Order: sequence, then structure tokens, then C-alpha cells
Amino acid sequence: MTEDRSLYLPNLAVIDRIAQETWDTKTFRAVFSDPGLRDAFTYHPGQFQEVSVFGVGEATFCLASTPTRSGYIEFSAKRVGALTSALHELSEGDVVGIRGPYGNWFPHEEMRGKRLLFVGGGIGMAPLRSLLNYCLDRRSDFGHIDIFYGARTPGDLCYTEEFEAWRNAPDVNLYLAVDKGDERWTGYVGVIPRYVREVAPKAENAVAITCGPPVMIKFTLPELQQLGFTDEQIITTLEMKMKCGVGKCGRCNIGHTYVCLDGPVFTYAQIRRLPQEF
Amino acid sequence: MSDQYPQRILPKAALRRWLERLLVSHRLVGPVADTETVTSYRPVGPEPMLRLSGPRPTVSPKAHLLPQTETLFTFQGSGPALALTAAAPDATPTVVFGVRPCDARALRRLDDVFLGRTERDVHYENRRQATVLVGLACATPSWGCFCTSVGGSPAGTEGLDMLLTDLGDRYHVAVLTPPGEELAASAETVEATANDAEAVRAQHAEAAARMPPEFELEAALRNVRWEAPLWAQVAERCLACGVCSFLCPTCHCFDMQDEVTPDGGVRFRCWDTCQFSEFTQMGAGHNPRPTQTERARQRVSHKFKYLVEEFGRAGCTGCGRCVERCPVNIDIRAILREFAGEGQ
Repeated sequence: MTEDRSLYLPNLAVIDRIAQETWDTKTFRAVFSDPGLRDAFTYHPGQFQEVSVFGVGEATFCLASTPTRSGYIEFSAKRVGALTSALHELSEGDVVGIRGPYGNWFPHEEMRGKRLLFVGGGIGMAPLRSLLNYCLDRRSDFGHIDIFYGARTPGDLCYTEEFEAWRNAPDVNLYLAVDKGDERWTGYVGVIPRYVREVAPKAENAVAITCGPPVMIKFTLPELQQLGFTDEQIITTLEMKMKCGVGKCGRCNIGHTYVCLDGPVFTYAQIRRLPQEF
Repeated sequence: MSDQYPQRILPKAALRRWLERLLVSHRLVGPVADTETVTSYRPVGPEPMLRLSGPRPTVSPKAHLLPQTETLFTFQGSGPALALTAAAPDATPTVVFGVRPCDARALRRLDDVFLGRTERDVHYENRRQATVLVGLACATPSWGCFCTSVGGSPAGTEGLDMLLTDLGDRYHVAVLTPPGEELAASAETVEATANDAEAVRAQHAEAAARMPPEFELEAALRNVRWEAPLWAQVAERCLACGVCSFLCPTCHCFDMQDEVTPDGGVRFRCWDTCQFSEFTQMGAGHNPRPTQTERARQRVSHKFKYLVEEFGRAGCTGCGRCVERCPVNIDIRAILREFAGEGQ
């Protein structure tokens, strides 16, 4: 990468695997076309990237893969707009553009030795999966892990192929929940905040990492506080409309905080200090 | 005025010859009459016809540093054969002539964003480094002008390489930087006299006196705040046309889009504005600024709060174009006056 390279020029990458996660969500595995970059590209769980479908445009996706598994990156996309629809039309072997990694990350260094509580909802599991798989690959660096993951129906759960690996990892509990079960669902039926209250994970020496629909976060926070989690012990990642990813295009700011530069990862204590516009 | 360089006088009869010499080595951009009442900065050729008198031009020279649309790269082919070609750097030596002090200061604000705040934007940087700014002091401020209210002056030199002052049959030339000195070398100037210097001082003072400060800036900056009934009042009138942003010399927000051509396409960026509802609208539908009230707050707060917190200076240089061209007469001076007057 030369010094005079445009900030907006993506690196080409080949989509080498597409996983249909749910009826509207796919996970794309991308391998950089430049072999040097394939090895050199590294990142932290929680960072994001800009993905181009040439001829359609570019959009922001968090990295859903972990840097501990190198050679490729992964991101998940729910089909919602023009760019994600175009992504969903891609086939294995197609080429996309990738810029990044951008933004800050989950403070995994500070999480060492601590109990981790993951609370994810729907597609919000994507950034948590990056950190979760990172922690599982360095299992001895972290304490007990509880994973709460909820979706509207069993068919809306992503990363189902990995549930066995998560569940079988040492000292890990996986708590799956759906709002509405089906004939095959034998797990928990109910909302995530209530499930968290019932299981009551310990707050002592713990960090809660949450991402999901605003309504889930809104009702999970009081439960976490009830369990003794302070605002500094609760970490989330914010989604804002972004274009450049590098603090130039001027649209992801919340007050003077640029989510692309100062975020997307914030503690709940930091979020409380932000103007409520996100 | 800088004492580093001797002050010179350029007879108006020698202006044309100077401009033509500059044209040999530079792209020359200057204020050109589009219509009787509209002036904008455009590249000019031999026999340049510049509109150098009157108030500051209708449109600022921003587009010559941050074009309204600009190709970032092109793509060719498709599938596995797809290839990218970066846009060629635009580093043509350029003189922007007749830049008003408000617009030169505004470029310093663009520098904060495009050359500072982490990484440099090479598209902007290439043009910026290749550009010399020849300023022209404002003798006749326009009715919406308020540079003196935001720390500027009709003869301010911030960001300029040279400042000309129109003294009737001649220009007073104040060289401000080495690139300015280099340009001035090709002008047929004579040394300025004490009388010239006095005439310049008088003109600058007279122009400033025609624009007494509209509000106390420090008080306005202190009081601009999130929860203010004013935002909703502004929003009620706002048509969300975006003309304030598009004419603003410091507004820099942009969009990036693709355009498809028969053999590939281009990724271009174009000016955008926080006044449009789509600006922050996310793919799945959520919009953190759902109404014009949040957008009114964003535009004013960005300039008078967030940029101040980040760079220590306001993102407005008082050119007054938004005041004069707003179709529903939203006047940012009145907004700031109201904030400045609170608690007094």
C-alpha cells in the first residue's frame, strides 16, 4: 500500500464461500486477490469494513470472522436494500471490493481473564461471533463464557452450524432463545432479557458484550444492571449510516463523536454520555 | 498585513499581462460573470474576463478543491476478470484568482477534515498542494455577509498566499507566502508608497465598519445546545432543498456512488448534505435523524459546536451565501444571535 493510495480505492477479493444463514441472511467468505494482502490483512474483533459490489455501490459490514483464522474474512448480510440485494445475487467466484479494517474494536486485551457474557439478537450476532470465535481460539486467555443468542423464530438464527462447536467448547454455556418456536424447537421460548434474568450470570469480574435490535438492548440493560453489571462492564457496537469509513464523508457522527473513528464499539458508560441520536 | 515581504503596487493596466503570464504555467481559475447577478469561479483562458469588483461571488471556489462530482476510480470487466483503475491524480498547478478572505479561511476548514483527522485524502491533497490562492479584499460586503462576527475580516489573510486590495486604478499587492512571492515575481509591480499603505488601511477599515458583528461569537458557541426549541422552529420553515450546504464554502460532506458504463463503471463522490432525509437513512429503514428538526440541529451544531470541540474553530466563515440564497429566509445569523443572547 503506497502512501498516496486513495482512501477510497478498495482491494479486490473473491467470494469463495456463501452460506445461507436464514431466509434473508447470508454469510460471505472473501479471499483477497492479492496474495500478499491475504497474509498481511489483519484486524481486531469488532472492526468493520466497506464492501463494494461494483456497479451498485458500497456499504458497511462488521467483520464476522476472527483474525485468529487467517487467509479469509467473513461478513454477514441481511437482505434489506439495494447493496445487500446485489450481494445476495452474487455467486461463489464473484469479485467484490473491500476497504478496511476500520474503527475501534472490542477491548479483548482488557477482557483477558474475565468472565464473558455475550448477548446477541438476530443479525446482531455477527460482530459478537468475531469476538466469540477469537476467544474460543484463545480459550485459556478468558474465563467462563455464557452466550445468549435470540431470534424471532428458529429459522432466524444465524451461525447454526457453529452451535455445536460453541456448546462443546470448554467452560462455555450456549443459551438459545426464540420468540416463537416451531414443532422441532425444544429450546427456550421467550425474550432474551427474561432468559438472562432467569440464568442470572455473575457480574463479578465479568464483561457483557451485546449487539442486537434496539428493543432487545433496551430491555436487557436493566437486567444486566440488576445482576450487578456497571455501565463500564457493558459493551456494545453501534450501527450508523457510513460511506467513507475514515471520518471524511460526515454522516456517522453522533454529536462530535464519529462512529467510524471513535467507534463502533462503546461501553454503555460512553453511550450514556452521547447525545441520544442513533 | 505581513511585514515579511515588501508591499507592491500593480497598475490595473498591467493586470491582464500578469494573468496571461500565469496562464502559461498554471490553470487559472477566477470569478466569471455567469449572468448579470450570478458570479462563480471558473477556469479561464487567454484574455481572461474576470469580475473582480462587487461583493463576493455567488458561488465559492470550493469546487476547484472539492469538485461537486469527482471520479475516485473506474472498474473494467466483470466476474473474476474485474479490475480497478485509480483516478489519475489532479495536481495541475492552479492559481485561484480573486479569492475572498471568507472563502480562503473556509479552505483551511476543509484542510482540517481532508488533510487532518487521521488519514489524508489524496484527491483533495493533490489539488490543494498544487493550488495558489490570490486573494482580493472585499470593499463592498454583501447584505448577508457576517465574516466579522465569526472571527474573520473583509481583508483577512488566513489561508491566502497573496492579498490584493483594489485602489481604483491600481491594486495593492501584499505577498503572504513563498508561493505567493513566486507568483508576484511575474507581475509588473512597483513599490508601494506610504500613501498606498494608508489607502489600504482606510479601505479595509471602512469595509469592516460596514459589517459590525451580528452576535458575540463566544456566547453563541457556549450556548448552542442539543435541547433547544429553536431547532424545531427552523425545521418548520426549512424545505430541505440543501442550497445552504451546496453554496457553503466549508460544507464538505459527500456521498459515493457507482455509475455503470458499457464496459464497466465509475465510483464517484459527490457533494451531499445533512439536510436530506436519506443522508443518514440506513438500509433496513432506521434513520437516526428522522425529521428536519434533527437535521437543522446537525447543520448548525456541526459548524458551531462539534468542529469547535474537535479543531478549536468554528466551521463557518460568515460568507453569508446561505443567508442570501435560502428560499425561505432562514438566517443562520438570527439563529446564532438568539443563542448568543440567551442568559444575558
